[in-house]
Amino acid sequence: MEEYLKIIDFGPISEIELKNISPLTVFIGKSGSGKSTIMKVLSLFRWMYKRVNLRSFIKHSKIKNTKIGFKTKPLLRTSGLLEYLTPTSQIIYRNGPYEIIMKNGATSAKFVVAREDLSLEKVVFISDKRSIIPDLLGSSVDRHKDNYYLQDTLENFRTAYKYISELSLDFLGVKFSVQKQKNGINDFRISGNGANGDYSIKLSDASSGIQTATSVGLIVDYYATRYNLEDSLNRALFSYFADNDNLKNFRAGMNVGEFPNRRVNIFIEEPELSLYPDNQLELVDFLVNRCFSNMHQYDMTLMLATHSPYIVNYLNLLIARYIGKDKETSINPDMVGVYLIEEGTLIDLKVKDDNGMPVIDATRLSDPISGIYDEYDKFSR
Amino acid sequence: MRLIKILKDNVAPAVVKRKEGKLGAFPDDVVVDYEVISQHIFDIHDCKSDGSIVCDRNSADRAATYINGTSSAPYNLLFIKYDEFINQFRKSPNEDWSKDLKRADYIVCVSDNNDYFIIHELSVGNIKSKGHDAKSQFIGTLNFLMKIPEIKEYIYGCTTKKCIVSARGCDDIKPSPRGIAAGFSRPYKIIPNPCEYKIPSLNKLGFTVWQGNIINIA
Repeated sequence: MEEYLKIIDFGPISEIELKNISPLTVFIGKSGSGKSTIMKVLSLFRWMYKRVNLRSFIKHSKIKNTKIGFKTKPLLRTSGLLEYLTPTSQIIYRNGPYEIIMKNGATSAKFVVAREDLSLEKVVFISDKRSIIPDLLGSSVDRHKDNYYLQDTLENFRTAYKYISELSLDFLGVKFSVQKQKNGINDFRISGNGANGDYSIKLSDASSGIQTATSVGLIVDYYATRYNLEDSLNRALFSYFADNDNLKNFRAGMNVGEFPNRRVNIFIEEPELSLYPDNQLELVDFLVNRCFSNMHQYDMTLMLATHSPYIVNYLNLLIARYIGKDKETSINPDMVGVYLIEEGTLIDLKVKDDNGMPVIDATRLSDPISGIYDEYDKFSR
Repeated sequence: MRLIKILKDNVAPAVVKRKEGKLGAFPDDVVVDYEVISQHIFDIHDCKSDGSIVCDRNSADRAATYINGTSSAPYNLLFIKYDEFINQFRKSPNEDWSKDLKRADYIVCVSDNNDYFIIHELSVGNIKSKGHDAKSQFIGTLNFLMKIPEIKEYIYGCTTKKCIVSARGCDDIKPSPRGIAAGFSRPYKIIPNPCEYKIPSLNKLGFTVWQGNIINIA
């Protein structure tokens, strides 16, 4: 079903409208332009849509007392978005015919999703503060609880390493592993082959790029290759009933098959964090392969906020490879949306070249370089 | 020419009204500076108030080239110096009836019919700010004009409505020394000239948005 988001007067956003959100959506824009705000709003509304789907599933299962309400301010507070709310703020989210509206400080989602439209949704947010995760893993300090998105990243990392004790991170040229020690503490390690031969070091001692990209790699690999839908449904329903003081109605093993649609939505803030350009491109290959090339029992979406000209330009190569039917990693241009957020509004950067082929206008990210050499020329004459 | 009359009779009073309470009536006669150009192919620049819009092909500040109809049947293109029109309401920093108003460089239309309404923004400054400034000028200019019923009706009556930003640099990417940043100029080479962008806040007003310096009035 087509997915739609409109945000009006909310933090740095004056008005943006995303129609038919693409499976791979990328935002660029200046620092503070609102890229992360849009991702956080969409992740929140997809989470609410997930809850409405659970409510609808329970109603269809003839279980009574399926009350669910969304308390706007606590939700926004948890998401770190409450200060963005103004009297004129308005957010409209649609998934097919189903609409969730936040306006006048209240949220309305009074609909029942039809059986055939029921969707089991998972929302995964990988925060730009993820560099702290290796330190948090070995620490009893719970600093992450102040930040929902960092907490979500950490919890997803913890979920992932329970299932993945070893993972080759080819885009970094290293291998991640975790081993439980005799004292019960996990030992997270990075190993590889360096200039002085093989090495193995603690994750928390690895380079900043390896630390930040390892959590991305591990979480995405888990949700793309080993995610268990039945567990997910049970956890979601357990959480839903617990939140509604209605645990007596919970029974494990409800039928995933009753959800004709299933979707994992991954949001990544600054995937390029601390990565050398070549590694950024290999990371994109990894993400696109895991999310869109691998076969899943569910759909996947990937949303990125980036400042990297390498990532945005690389999308053009992935699109060209698809059109040229190349065997290397590629992506169907119809699945890609790239937007510039500027002055609180949105510019669609997917344009057509002289041959009518889709191309991402990455010149915005070249303009600063061009500006540098325009000025350089004044001094070199 | 109906558009000139609307600017004088309806838009000018709307500009003044915004600040009339504080500054009083605008004391001068309002002037609408314009040029009708009937050449088939011509180049334009961001001209001073008393200069011609048309410039030489080799001029350093050439910002765009118009291809106007056919060589045998070019249109009479009416170029209104819109920024100059708005600028006249600024008599001093303390007497500025146009304060806070955005102003695109030119409004361009066909003088004999309602085929085109073009808002054309030229940039000869730093290339990195061109898109940012232009979008802001378009949105500000249109939001103001659309509040004035007479010009709103005129704009809606036009068949083709475009916002165009032309920056010196669109087709003139300077090489970096020894090509050290050559890769960064490659994206410019695959973007057509002109290139259409979807900007919902302008598209919903019926305008398509273009960046480039070849403007084809077919």
